Amino acid sequence: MYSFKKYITIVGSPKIFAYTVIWMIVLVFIGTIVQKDIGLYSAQMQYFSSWFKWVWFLPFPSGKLTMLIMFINLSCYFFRPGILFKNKLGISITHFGVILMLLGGGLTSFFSNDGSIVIDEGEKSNFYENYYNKEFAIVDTSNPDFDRFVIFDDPLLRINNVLSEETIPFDIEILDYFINCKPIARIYEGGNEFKGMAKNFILQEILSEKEYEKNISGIIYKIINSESSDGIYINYIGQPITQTLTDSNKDYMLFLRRQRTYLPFELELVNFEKVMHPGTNIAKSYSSLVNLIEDSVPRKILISMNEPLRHRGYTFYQASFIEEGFKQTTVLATVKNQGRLFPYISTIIMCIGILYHMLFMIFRRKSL
Amino acid sequence: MTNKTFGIIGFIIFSSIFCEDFTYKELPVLQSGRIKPLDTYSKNSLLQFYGKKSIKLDDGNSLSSIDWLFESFINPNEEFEREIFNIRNPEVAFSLGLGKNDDHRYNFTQIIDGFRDNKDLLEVLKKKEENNQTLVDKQIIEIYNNILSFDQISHGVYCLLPLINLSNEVNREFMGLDSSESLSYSYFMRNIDRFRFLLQNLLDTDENDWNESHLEISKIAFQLESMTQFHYAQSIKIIPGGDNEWFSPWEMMDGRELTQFQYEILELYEKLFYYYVNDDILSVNKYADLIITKIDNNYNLETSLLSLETFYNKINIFLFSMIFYIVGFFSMCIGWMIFNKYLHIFSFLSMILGFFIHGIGIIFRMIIMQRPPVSTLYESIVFVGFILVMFALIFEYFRKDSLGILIASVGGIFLHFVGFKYAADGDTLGVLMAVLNSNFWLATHVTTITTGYGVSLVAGLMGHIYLVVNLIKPKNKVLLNKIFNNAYGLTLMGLFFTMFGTILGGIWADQSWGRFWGWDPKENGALLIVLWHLMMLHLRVSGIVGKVGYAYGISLVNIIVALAWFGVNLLNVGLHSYGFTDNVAMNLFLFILVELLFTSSLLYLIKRKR
Repeated sequence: MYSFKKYITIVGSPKIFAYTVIWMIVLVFIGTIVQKDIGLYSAQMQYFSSWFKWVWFLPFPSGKLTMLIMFINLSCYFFRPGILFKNKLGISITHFGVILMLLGGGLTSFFSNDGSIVIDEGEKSNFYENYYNKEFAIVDTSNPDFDRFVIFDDPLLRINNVLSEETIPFDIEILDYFINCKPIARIYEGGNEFKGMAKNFILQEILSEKEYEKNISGIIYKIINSESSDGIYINYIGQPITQTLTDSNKDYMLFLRRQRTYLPFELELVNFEKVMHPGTNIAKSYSSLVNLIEDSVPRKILISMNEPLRHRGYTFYQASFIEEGFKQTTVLATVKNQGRLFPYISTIIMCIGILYHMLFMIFRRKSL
Repeated sequence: MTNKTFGIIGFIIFSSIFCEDFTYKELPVLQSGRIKPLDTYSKNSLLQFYGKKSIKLDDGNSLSSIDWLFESFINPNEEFEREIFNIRNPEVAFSLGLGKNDDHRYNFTQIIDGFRDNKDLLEVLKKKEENNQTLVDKQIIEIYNNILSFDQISHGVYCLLPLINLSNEVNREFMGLDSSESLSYSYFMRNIDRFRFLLQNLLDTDENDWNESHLEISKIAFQLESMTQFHYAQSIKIIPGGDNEWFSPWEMMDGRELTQFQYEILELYEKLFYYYVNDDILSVNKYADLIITKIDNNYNLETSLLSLETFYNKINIFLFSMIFYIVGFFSMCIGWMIFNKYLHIFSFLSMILGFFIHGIGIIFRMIIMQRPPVSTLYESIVFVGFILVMFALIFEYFRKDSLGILIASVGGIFLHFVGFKYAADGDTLGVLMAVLNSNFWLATHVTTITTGYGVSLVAGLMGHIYLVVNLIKPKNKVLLNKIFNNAYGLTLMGLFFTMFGTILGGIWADQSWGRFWGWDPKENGALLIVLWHLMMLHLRVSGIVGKVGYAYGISLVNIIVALAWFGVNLLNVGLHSYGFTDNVAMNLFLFILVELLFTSSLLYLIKRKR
């Protein structure tokens, strides 16, 4: 028992907290400065959302690990004696609030899922696309009643990986995968082994954009073990012509696209509206009038700046819009976040804690 | 004494806000998405070109911005010779072929000639991507844009000026005129139906049979034709057209159908400029009043706001609050030297008075813009100064040993100077992007976080004082302990405000665009201050640092605040960036250097003394 207490005292020492905070300051400082060069997403990945930041061959604790240490250190605070005494109660409540906050951050980083849903005026959509992750989709269109989808997720899209699935009569060997690339027209047509767009185009890898979500990912793959379609193909995000092929008397479409998450309901954009400050190009507000269609029953909802739609755990925010000629398209940021309520609760707790502490100090001083 | 002063200030404010007549300064104009008085328009333009709000004339007098604007309206060609364009960078002047000039000011004609002689320069620059432009490139483009916009302004109301004489009796009678006033382009456009008849008559008559009236009409037709060249000058949007849209006089001249209201407004404006040209300011103001009342009746203008804004422009209120702070500072210093109790009271009152004026200035801005106190960088500077002085004065009220006055005056004066520097960059009353346009969150998050900045700065200054007192009077433990306790308490308060400000910001972000925290530079900046306070508190609690070390650390929070406040704008990434000048980087660097040197040398001296 004694050793457990001693252990807690060491792990929960405020000294550790002080040093961890200093390290966190260093991380935040560097992680902010480098954003000018590598962009927000990469900085976030390297300095905050990962466990370690590798400098050459040395691993430095990154934001996630640092905050985990803080969390453990703070948790030990509650094994100390006397934390519920009058003079410490305020501080204890505040610390509890901070722990909740860190916990919420952890939950968010592990379980939240976000992206954006893009709808043209008058159109419907029932999925949102992840900003960063991509997926490789094979669609079997031979049955007139329904399409069969086979999806390979981002982590599978690695060089030399062979993708196969029992219902598909062929295998896919990934020859190359680019985070960001651009298609370049070939001067001479490629040889017989190149099929589809690969016959006339090659993909050239280019540096990742500072804004990661603007990257056009591309994939070069080889179809093997098929009846008649063996060859090298390319796919990239936003490809104008869909890659199709026929094998074993079935028609397939192949896509590389942003990872999709399907919603249990549909959204239809009825009208998009933006109001400008008079005589300028500065937008004063945007809003989308949408129909939320669930079980074929539509319900009208107005989503505007600072006033999102929340439904079944999903939240849709007016994020942006696209205008091409007369066609207006709304972009709604979509989030499903399990840890959403934590900051709200922990703020209230911290507020109570600090106020208690301040009042306590004031009254103690008066009574002296 | 103070009651009297308040009375006078109150009288000035009320008399100028609620006086019934409007003057030509308050004529409404639409610029950058907001209806503002011409006075503000002229100030912004002059700041943009000249760098100051009024022009210093050779005879020592000064020309106010509104008078400069009207002079430019009625005498564009003369104003083209006035040296109002500020080119501080000799490289820029040289590349435009402009000679050396001690006050760095050049006139329109010189610069336009410079651009004409270096045509290729501009062509090349326009093709460059913004990221590749050097400072000189950017400044050249800026000068070019200024030249263009001045050209637009100076000919903006050209069609309203009485430049055309119609003296022939026959013609006058036909147009229904009874006096011999000169007429404007706009007059003919408004009465185009009658004038068209005269023109047709002219065309139908053989040139050899032209009489005097024909000759005059042909002359006028030629004159009108040549004035049409200024049709492009459409930047003075003074005529409301419904649906939030405002038009420039020249836009009204393009043959469109004028509403009765627009017809009348144009007529009133013609009269106004007629009297301005003839130096009859009383009548000018009479017509200005008529115009504003008319627009107000039809379009529900917030006329009291126009007057308030003109008044705000005129009094330069923050100059007064700064003067009181400076008076407070010096009387406090003298009071310290000669141990005079009354001087101490006097300096405290002076600070209080400055503080009230400071607050009134902020309230004015809130009323004019109809939004919470802080929404732009400039406003944050003014507001942080206000909070800093407030907290320091509260301390002074309880301590009564002038330390609070010292902090309030030094911080207040310094932030006033920073604010003036920002105000000199142009319009400080701008409209906001859609995301920021939420009064609730501006009022809660932004106000809390800026309050946090203010309190943190007070804490930092308290740390400075601890170090100085420790060096000068290391024996006075009672005083030192008091200061230390104050610095510690202020750290807690700073932590409170910055932490809740930051969390509220996160909640705003969660509400508006779906994520609580995104490691955006501005968020990180605020987080840095929070972490710094946390670090100092835990360093002290765990006994890693002593009191001197704590004071040193908390002094450095000033640097962190400066970085979070101004530094992050230099990165220009993310949702919060406001846009900035290159000067900021230099000044920020100097500030950090001075702070580091000052506090570190204090620390070194204290340690050595021991």
